[in-house]
Amino acid sequence: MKEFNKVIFGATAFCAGLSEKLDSNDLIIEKNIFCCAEFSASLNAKPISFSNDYDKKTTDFLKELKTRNILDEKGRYSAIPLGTCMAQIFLNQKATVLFDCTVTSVKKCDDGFVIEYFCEQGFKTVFASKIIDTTDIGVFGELEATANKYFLANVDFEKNDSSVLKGRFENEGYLKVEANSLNFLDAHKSVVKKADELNAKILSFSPVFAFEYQKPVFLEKEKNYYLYPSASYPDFAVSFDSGLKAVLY
Amino acid sequence: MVLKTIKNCNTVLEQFCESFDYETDLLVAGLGTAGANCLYTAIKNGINCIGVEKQSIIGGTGTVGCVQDYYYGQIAGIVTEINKQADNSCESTFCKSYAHPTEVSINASAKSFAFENASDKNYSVLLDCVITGVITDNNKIIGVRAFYNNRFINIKAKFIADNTNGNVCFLAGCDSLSGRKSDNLTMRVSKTVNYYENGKTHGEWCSLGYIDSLDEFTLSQKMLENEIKPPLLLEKYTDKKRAVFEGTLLGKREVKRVLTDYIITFDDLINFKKYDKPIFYGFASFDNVNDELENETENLVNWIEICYMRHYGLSFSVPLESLLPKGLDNILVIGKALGTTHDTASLIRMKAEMEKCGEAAAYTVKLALDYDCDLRKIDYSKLKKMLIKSGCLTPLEDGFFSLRKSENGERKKVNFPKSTQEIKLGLSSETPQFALFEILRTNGENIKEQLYEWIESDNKALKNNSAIALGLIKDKKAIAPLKEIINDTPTVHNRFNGEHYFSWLQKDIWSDFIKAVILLGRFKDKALLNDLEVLKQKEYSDSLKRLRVYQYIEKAIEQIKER
Repeated sequence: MKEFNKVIFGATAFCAGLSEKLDSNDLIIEKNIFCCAEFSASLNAKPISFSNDYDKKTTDFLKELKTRNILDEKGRYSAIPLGTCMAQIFLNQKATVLFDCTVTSVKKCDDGFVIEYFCEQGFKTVFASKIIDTTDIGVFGELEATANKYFLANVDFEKNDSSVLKGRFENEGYLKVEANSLNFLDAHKSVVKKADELNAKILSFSPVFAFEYQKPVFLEKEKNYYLYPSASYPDFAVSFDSGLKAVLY
Repeated sequence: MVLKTIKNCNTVLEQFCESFDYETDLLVAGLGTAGANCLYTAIKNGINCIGVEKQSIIGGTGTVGCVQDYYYGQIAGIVTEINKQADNSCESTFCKSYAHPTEVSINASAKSFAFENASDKNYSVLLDCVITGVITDNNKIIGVRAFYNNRFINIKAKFIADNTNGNVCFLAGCDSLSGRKSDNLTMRVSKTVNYYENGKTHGEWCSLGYIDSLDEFTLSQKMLENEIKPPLLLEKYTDKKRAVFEGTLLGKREVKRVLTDYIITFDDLINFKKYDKPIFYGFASFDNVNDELENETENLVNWIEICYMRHYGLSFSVPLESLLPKGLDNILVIGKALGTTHDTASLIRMKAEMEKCGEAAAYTVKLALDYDCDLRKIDYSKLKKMLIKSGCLTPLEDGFFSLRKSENGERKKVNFPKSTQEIKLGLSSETPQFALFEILRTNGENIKEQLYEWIESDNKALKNNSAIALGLIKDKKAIAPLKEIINDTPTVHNRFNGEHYFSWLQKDIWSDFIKAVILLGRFKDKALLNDLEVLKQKEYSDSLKRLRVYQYIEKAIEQIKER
């Protein structure tokens, strides 16, 4: 069994910030095959706020997004390339990221945790001294009750409507519907209905749900097992910056 | 009952005493291209069924894999209903996807939504649900275990259609067939992103290379490195072209296949073998996209490099037996893991065919349920009637056809040279591929004597191509004239024919020099080693380097040394 010091769940924006503090003894386990699903694949592209308090690395990352024309001066951004751009941060930090792995159990042992995940080769187990879960609502849905759940579709839409987030480009919109009690099938129906009402053309469905919180969440589930949901921050920039500044106990 | 799982690379058997959360007649494990059609057909035919899918969207490679267009294949069967529904919804709700005027493309979300609407009960489909184990009783599969909504669930099924790249079959103990002979690798894998441009969506892909032997750590590192390269990350984005969906699964052109009752071979296909129980027909080329062809099988090298048939495809059929895993009773393998060899997997993989494969599986299960019998004991005549009625089993004319369609959507049939005169004409021309392939296919019957004569000809094209033809059928009289070719100044045929709307088929590029090297290697004659070693030291043009001249020379030397 491979042993790690810290195992982080979710290659999220928060985790990208956190990766500054990680080394080869740490591991990131991600369910998807891309990074930053909570602000990228989820299409929950609320315009970001710019702040002078950001760490230089956050400012540099935002500059890079602007250079690539992913982010504009108003803080609007194109959701999909955000995730691919963020992959660069994990690469630069030489972070060990495991994609396409679903965490199926965490068991406490004497001096840490045994984590079981399921991947293409079946179940695998690793040992961790510490766990930091940065996923939307926790890998076991621990925070489900405290978060609001949404579903979004990528649309071509020129008008203004409160249910459509404006992206970086002309007519780039993200149609958002409330999805608290919905599964994916119902969510697809709901967003299609809304698109028809607005006469907005759907370009693609998001492959994940989006989650929002009233305020950033930090929870110590048990000793050495922390929940820092990246999605609980107002946007990816704040989440990334918070990851950079997070104190690891 | 026993629960079989893989834990830390070992098969683990545990006593299974839990209850089942779901019970069904048909479990469609994996709702990819084949699985989605299987489930849709099953629902339409009143089968009590459940579909389980790891992704959150139905449709697999054709939807979340961003492969929206039909690449070759023969679209037929029940999927035409889905495509029509999806196409109609693109008039109002969804955006259209791009295709060449003679080809078909369906927007990914429109298609998945059309599939989803087929199911009026949500419990028929469990999305974001990953199968982790198989439950067996006396070696019979009873059901599967899956991880769904943060807990393990157990699903009991009378029959299973396995669209999980064979994983359910393998867990149940079925043997697998791996990739090419030289190094066991299957075809390279890609990742695709959907862009929105000129009012339509289209996919752009990049290769991740071979991933067969990689553990999850190495594969993930490769994926991460790939994320920051075009087309996944562009230097600059513009209003005109924006990314709208990143593929949520890797594009696997070939997977480990299941050892089934019948394995479809290269010879079956090029000779249009007639099976007793065909379940669908198809059309495609041996579409192996690997760069280093020198590592591929002789059949594929002949098809692509020597006969240069990459512009042509062929019609074929697939038998029921290639969906029936050896040694297992109540399961069908559907999708790319069906019983093919590495060579034929490159051809029997197109979306249209995988769709029909899923449909045919559903009808097979329907008959087994209606008549309470094993899958192997169904009345094929009844299945045939169902498949003909649905359009799934629409026969195609035997033959090789151009991959390019005419404006009316038809493909031109290849007329192979048959008479001595026609073959001579072909071998004397700049386009000898049909003559070469005909000689290969007939093993040079009735033409050898003429080939012996023509290798002495003053007509260089006829002489060289006759030597290549003899080399293809491994006639030792080819050795001397092939040696002449390798000792001559190497040339490259580089002809822009501009005929094809697929950019990679717009050029004809081949070299007699490389063909001669390949064929000489196959004779495994040690006397040829010196000649080849000398060739290895020479400097070649960039065109020849792009055609992998050094690698082919190395491979020929390796073959001779192996003997």
